[in-house]
Amino acid sequence: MITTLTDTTASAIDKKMTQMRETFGANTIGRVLTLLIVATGEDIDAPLEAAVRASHEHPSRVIVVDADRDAEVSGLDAEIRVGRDAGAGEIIILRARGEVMANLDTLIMPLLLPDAPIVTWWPENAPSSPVHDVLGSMSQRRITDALACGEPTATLKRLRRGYSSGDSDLAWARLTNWRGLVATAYEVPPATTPDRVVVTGRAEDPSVVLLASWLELSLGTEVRVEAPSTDAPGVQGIVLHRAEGTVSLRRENDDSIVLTLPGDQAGQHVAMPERSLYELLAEELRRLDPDEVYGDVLSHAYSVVRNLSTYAKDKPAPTDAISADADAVAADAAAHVAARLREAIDARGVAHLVLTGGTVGVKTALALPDALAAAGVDTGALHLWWGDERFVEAGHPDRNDAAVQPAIEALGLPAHRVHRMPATSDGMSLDESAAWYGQQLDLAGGDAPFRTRGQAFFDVILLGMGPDGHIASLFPEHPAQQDVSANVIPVRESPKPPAERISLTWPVVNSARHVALLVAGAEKAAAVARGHGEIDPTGTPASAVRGLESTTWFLDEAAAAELPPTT
Amino acid sequence: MNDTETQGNPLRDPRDRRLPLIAGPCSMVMFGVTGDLARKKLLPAIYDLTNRGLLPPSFGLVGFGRRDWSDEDFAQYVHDSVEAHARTPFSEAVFEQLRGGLRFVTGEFDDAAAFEELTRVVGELDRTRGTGGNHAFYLSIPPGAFPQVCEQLANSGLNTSRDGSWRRVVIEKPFGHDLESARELNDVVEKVFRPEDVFRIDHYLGKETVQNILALRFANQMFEPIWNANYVDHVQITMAEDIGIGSRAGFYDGIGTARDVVQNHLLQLLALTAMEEPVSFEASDLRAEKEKVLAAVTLPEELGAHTARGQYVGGLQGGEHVRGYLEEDGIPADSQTETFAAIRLDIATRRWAGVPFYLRAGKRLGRRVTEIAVILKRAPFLPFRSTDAADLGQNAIVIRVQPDEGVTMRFGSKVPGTQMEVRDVTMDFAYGSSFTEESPEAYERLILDMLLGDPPLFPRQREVELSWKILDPITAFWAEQLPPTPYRSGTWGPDTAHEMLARDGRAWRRP
Repeated sequence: MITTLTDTTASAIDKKMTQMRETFGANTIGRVLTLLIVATGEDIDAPLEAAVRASHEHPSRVIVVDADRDAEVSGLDAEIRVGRDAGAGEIIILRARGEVMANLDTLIMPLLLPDAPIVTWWPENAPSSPVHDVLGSMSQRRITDALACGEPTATLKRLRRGYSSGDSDLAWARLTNWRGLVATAYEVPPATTPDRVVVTGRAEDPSVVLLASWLELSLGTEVRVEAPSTDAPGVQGIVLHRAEGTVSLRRENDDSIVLTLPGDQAGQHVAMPERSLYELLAEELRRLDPDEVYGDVLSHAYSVVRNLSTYAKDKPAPTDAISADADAVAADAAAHVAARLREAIDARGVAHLVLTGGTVGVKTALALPDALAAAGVDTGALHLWWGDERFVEAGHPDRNDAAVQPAIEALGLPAHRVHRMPATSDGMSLDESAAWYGQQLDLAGGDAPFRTRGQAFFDVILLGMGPDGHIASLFPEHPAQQDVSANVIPVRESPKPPAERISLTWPVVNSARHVALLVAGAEKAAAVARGHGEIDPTGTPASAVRGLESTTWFLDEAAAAELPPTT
Repeated sequence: MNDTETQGNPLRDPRDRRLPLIAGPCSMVMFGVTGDLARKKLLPAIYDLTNRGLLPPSFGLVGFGRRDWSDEDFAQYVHDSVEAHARTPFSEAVFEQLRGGLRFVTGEFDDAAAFEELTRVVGELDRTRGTGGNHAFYLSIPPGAFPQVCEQLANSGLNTSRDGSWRRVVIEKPFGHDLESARELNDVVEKVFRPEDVFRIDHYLGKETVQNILALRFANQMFEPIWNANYVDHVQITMAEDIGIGSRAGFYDGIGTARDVVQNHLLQLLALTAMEEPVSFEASDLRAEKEKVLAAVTLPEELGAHTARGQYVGGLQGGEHVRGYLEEDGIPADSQTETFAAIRLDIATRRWAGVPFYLRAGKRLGRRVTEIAVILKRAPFLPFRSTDAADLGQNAIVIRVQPDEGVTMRFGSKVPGTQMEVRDVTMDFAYGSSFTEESPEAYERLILDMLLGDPPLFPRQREVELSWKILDPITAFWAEQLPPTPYRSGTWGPDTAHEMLARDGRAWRRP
């Protein structure tokens, strides 16, 4: 049966479920896990059907978070399905609108089964780092599906960057039959290591990538990926070349593959239909301990980005805009920002601006309302973000967002378009706060550039720079700045007080169309000079941030004093 | 644990628990392929394994039988059987994979020429299908035919493997009808096959719930401390069927319930329930513990008082007219075969001294159920007035083997209200309401394990012999002194069964 609750709350849903249990006795059998399905706008029927079928093998409580982020009015509707409509499980569909989405963890908290393991599944939009996601961080297992994401291989790379024990991807589960078969075929005598291995499939298919990586890692033999003659998706074939003859597996049609062993011309036909979503999910739920082999294979597939300068490389060189003093710098920068935002709104209907703190940063922000008005920027299309924040209570003078509060008020932006980083007074720990902000960024589409270098999410990012050359809260030689596994990180033991901060990471600060570095004062002249030198993220963070389209140093004369004279 | 070739395969990482264990290249020769078991269980299980991708592409299946069939006729027969009885959805594509390896050999069991033909066909499969000289012989035939078939297999050399390949033989229960016949039967088989190549299929041991007994007992901390004579009052193991003997008259008469199911299924359940913790789940360690506990089983001195024997009579069962055992087709009107058996066994170990194990099995009983009920002693002191706890029974842990697989616990709870009143309630764990339909059939598991050479779920000859040692004195006593008592179809057996427990101050649980 299906019960619908409109404009409800999580505790009302919990109450209703208890009541349904008492009335119908429908859902009293042992549940083994809670399965969270995070759907952001896409069709939920297919994942839900898979979950219902899988519930026969894994009786579970399924909670679908179906979010409509664009809704103006905030609210929560719920649908509870038990009995015939829910297989062997029970289903709660949460239709969250607007702001309710902001605290997903507290939304589902009362609905989780006591003690039972939590599995979170993103059928389409994988978060930038599953373990850093608010729901992912409370789950034992995190299931993504790179193939269902916009850019599959880019997503897989990103999942590699954000990988943590307990992650898995359906692209890996799609390979199980292939892997089983090739492992068995390998055992055909003489079972020697092949000299050469060829995998046929499209190189951009995540399953092909993982299969090649797995074979290479296990056999220690180089694996070549060859494009298939057709544009059929998925793995199309595997050939093991041995001195004694070749073992080949080739997909012949949607239902079967042909296995050819040495000395066997005809080949044997093996039924291997593509696995349904349900089968993939059921396999994932069979074990709730980390799939270490997947982790190894994923790590082997892509080398980790060890060189942090990667994110800044191959982008237009920075230019300088030098003014007389800090006020002039701010005015100049504000006009520049206004023009860029106007372009963004004209082109895409929306603009994302990242604010910063510091003397010139604040001055620039305060100059913005007038500059935006002058440029005719529709503030109704503007989102504000922060590059970093001091982790102190809300409204504290140390906070970057507190300093620019007059500007925010002057712009008249509604709260849901002012994306402040959490404060201690929000009741989250530093780690939770960073994870929460990362999720906000993901939900807004901020993970897109994180997937692929060369994509922008932010239109303009404003960054101040300290005398040590730091930007955001990425400090020179500080261990936290090396972490690129998430898009937002906690920073502890900051060399500059307060000690605890939240910061965007390298891939994210490098995902803006336009970067504006705002610097004034002679004490920063040396760092400005270094910032103009070689890209050196660890030594001089300011040298390692670049906009896709432009990077501009807005400097006063004192700060520019040590720059080599321009020719 | 498995075939040597799976070891040292760099593609098999022990941590990689997704990777399915697919049987290596092999074929299966099936004797008695036209029988009920083959048609309804074995052939569908082979299809289901293929469908799940667990059989090798090179798999071959040879039917051996009297019918004058071509390979195509046989393929059609397998097709029909699979379509009607397979657990997983039928797909022609999957069947096509099987079809290429289907062969049929026509012949009698004493026909040497037919076995020569069989040798040729198996050799042909090795060449054209790549079955690699690995062959399993599934004897789905009456034990009476074993000597002939084994002899023929030996004469044609089919029983001996060459260069690293294997030959295995699968036999189904009954493994004899008493100790002596079990030994004779075993001699026949082991003369031809090595003991480790003989796989005795007891399909009960392939069931998830039976395997779950081990998980329940040895993976948890909460059960094992009370799993002994200090806390357990007694154990009841029930295997009840609501149907009659059906078309099994020829087999059943003269055998009876005790030999049919008590000797194998019930004693195996007893062994798993009562055994000590094995050192590991390796076949040899598991077997050592089962053998120890079976060897420690003692029989009641007065068999007449502590066993019961029954035979169902006709009447209305569940709104349907059913025939009595003596009226079934092919059963002599004066048959003394029992269709109900109940026995008390004791286990002479420190853990179980003084805890009786009551085993009962029968046909045309109240409902179809197999379960193990561990009944705990009453709490030594109840701080309630006697009327308060009048409804309180004994705590029980019940492992439900089939249907509705799961675990039930029974304990006392306060009845809501002002009075202090304690009453029994049950708490239930079901293996998912539909788990049974999703979980593999026992035969799938066992056939695959056999092809993989993975023996933990197969009883060995010593277990079989120990079981007969337990049962032989009882059946001998019965034959001489205890004719079966009639009982109405659809009840829980004859009054003698109830009296047997009443003598011990206990009562059968109503499952």
